[in-house]
Amino acid sequence: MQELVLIQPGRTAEKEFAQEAAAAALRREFEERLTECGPLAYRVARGVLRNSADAEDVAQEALLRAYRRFERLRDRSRFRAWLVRIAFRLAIDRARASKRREVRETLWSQSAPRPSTEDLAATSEFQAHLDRAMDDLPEKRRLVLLLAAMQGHSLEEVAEMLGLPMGTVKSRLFFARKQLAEKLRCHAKTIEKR
Amino acid sequence: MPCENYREALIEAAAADSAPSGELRSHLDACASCRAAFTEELQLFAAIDTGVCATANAEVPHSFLPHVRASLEIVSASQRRWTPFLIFAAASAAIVLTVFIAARPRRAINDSQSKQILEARSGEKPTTPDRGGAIRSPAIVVSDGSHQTVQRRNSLPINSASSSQLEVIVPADEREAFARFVHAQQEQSDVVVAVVAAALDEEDKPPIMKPLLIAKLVVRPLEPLDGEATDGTEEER
Repeated sequence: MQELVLIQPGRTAEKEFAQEAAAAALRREFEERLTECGPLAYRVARGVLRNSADAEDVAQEALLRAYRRFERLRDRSRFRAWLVRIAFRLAIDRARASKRREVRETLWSQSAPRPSTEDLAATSEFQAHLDRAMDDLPEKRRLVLLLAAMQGHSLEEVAEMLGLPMGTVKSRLFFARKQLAEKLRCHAKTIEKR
Repeated sequence: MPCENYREALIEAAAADSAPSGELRSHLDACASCRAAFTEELQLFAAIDTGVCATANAEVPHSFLPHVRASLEIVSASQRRWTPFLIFAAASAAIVLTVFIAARPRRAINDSQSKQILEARSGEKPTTPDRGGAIRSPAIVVSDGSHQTVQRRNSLPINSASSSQLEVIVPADEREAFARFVHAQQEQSDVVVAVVAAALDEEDKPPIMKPLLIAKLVVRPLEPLDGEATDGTEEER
């Protein structure tokens, strides 16, 4: 029996097959990187948002965005840094949006949402102060602090990932920690006295 | 309470996560309160590092990667489905736009150029009164042939604007040259330029069907011949 193949006018079937093969190869390459870098994107988002559901959402969005533009990424070895930046940017945007929403809702209801007992139990008082202090850090310092705190990341790797000189990374880390300490010093003393 | 002179140095040493050296080291050996303050600072930074590490190393949910893979599948499937349609739509739009840009302005320019040349020159020439006594300019309008008629100046007017102008059918690519030719002729003399269409070939002429002329028939009964019987005897002859 004769096999009929429907092709688009002006394009040969071979071209279509080649394109499909290229797309499949691209997809495989991306999936390999997804296994390696997906958790990193999640952790960066989680570090900014401190909420698992939001972090998952944002990391997924970052990975999909990266997938759509993966073909255009010239230097594939920079994928990690690229993904970290996308995830961090999206997480910052999400955090700002939720902060605005929170302010609006507070103004409407005149009462801030009270944390549940589980939340209080899960987050120590110091950790809550630390989270707030981290929110106030400049974005550049915050990203360096988060990446440097992640297990398996040396300062050299952070510098390479962000494309920064080692001295800049060290300086940002130093000032980030110092700024956090200034904000937390009084709280640490209060907690200690109890 | 740490000594004021060493307070900042203590904090910076703790923030840099490095052992104090030089003058600060010797002061810490000598001053118990500064030593206690330095220990407090180290504890504070350790607590900060622990908190930041807890935030930065959150456990990734097991469902995360499968969810992402499923979303990727959806995205790539929708890309495959829409790409041919998008390409086709873009190509169609490009073709239509190209044709529109290439065709439309040229015709408008040709028309306006030829009319401008002729009508500008017609304003310089003396006007001639026509049969009706109205003043009309000897303008010639170059037609693109869409009317399929040649209107003479004094022919019956179809409308007031066209009745005062002579229209000549000229091929589109010769319109500008024809306009220049008419202009040159009008500048040289006041002789009216008559342009007529070439006579059609004999074989191109439509066949003329002349009506069939039949002379008037007169019907009258035959006169009987001499000696002929009227009772059927003629058959015998």
